[in-house]
Amino acid sequence: MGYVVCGGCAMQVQTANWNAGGAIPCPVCARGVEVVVFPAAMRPVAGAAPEAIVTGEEASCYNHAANRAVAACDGCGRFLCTLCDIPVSNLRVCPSCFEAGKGGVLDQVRLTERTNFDTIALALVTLPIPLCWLIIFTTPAALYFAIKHWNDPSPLFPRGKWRQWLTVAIAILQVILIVSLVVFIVRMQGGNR
Amino acid sequence: MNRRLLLPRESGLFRYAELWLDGAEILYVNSSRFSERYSRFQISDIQALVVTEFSLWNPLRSASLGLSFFFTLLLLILAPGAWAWWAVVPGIWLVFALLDVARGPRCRLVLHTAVSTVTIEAVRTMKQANQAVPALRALITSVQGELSRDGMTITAPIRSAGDVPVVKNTPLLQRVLFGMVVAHAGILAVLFFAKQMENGLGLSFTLLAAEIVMGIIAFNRRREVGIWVAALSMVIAILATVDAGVLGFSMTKSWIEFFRAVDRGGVRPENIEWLWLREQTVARAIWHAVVGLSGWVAWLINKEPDAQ
Repeated sequence: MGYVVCGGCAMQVQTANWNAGGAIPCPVCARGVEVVVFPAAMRPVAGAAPEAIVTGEEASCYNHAANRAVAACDGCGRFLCTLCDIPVSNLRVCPSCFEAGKGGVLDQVRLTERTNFDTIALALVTLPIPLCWLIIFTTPAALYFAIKHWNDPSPLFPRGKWRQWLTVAIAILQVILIVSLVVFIVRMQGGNR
Repeated sequence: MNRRLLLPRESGLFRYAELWLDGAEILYVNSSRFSERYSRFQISDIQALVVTEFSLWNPLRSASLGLSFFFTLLLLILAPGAWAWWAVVPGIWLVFALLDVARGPRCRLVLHTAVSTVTIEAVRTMKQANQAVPALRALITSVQGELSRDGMTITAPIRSAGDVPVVKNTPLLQRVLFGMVVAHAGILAVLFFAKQMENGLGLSFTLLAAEIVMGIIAFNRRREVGIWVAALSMVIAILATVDAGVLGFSMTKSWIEFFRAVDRGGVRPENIEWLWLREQTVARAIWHAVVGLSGWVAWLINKEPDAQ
């Protein structure tokens, strides 16, 4: 492992300055840099070469009959060799279970991004308020996002529905305001004639 | 769900970042509020943590302070008689700069594994890093053991990951908020007794705006500060909103009356009469004193759990 660099100038930090117990000034930019290295950095990179079956009593991999099994899949129970064994969180799964995303834990682990449509809807209904005319366009959009994603699951962090309720309440008020304004303008024009 | 927050949430207006301990993994959440990105690191795979300290004066802080001085200078040159009115403009920049400087020097924390290098946005200041790095180090060494400085010896883990304490947030924002509210009451009292109440209107407007924003942010951190501190933060935000509305209304009405008087003739700019000035100053000072002191009391009662 020789890629530890200063966060200010990207100059490589000498190994002699690792685990120094505090910040060491960078020789180039003079910023204090503290490097804490752990035993994983010194671990040799393990190869995934499977071992061949020697005797007939050994369990073989479900996918590779000639390879010795090293684990059982936590999803389907099939025996796996080192090629097929995928460690995910605290589980060991086979490629097909990983692909299918079996089990709630796998769903969570595979999740890398989530869009918060409730926040988008609330922003759409509140941020354009200072520009009054914009709410004609943003209010329907906010209602669309709030209602379409009303029952979206929140797999990692539970989110309440208060944003959606607030969006709908504000949107209804804005619709009432717009309709009242239109009625008022129409009546005024009718009165002028 | 066996998941706990390792570090306090680091948040801004349109972003936040969190670091969670999730079983044998560290879950890093980086959000723009409209979307969240998740990264997972097996504790046994983390190779290094690198903290780089930056100087106290970054371009943003310098620019804020520079703008504050620039507007103050402009005010003194162009409108020396109305400085109290327009103090709101440099005041906003000054408050922004001072609050940011109070957070101390910024830093960058980078986490290395064999296959990835990720900047952890949950740690952005040295104050946070000084708490976060020992906690993360304790957590990682509890799984991997400790590496000697020469990289030759590994000491076996001495405690389990579950024993590693969680870093609590320092409620700086709440302390600044309650301090500002009490100081606001004090300033109003001084101006009242000095019969200079009209000079406090611009400053009050600036402080009320800051109290609204800070009150909402402080309430948003209710999980870290306890129910009473959070409730009082929200009370400040609500009262400041009402108060700013009253102040804005009375100022607008005073200006309208003033311009009508000017139209009639014989009124000079310094003759503007502020409506309900005495009543407003007294009421504003009282609610600031009561709520600000209550906030300090609530914070002191809640102090012990925060210090753990």
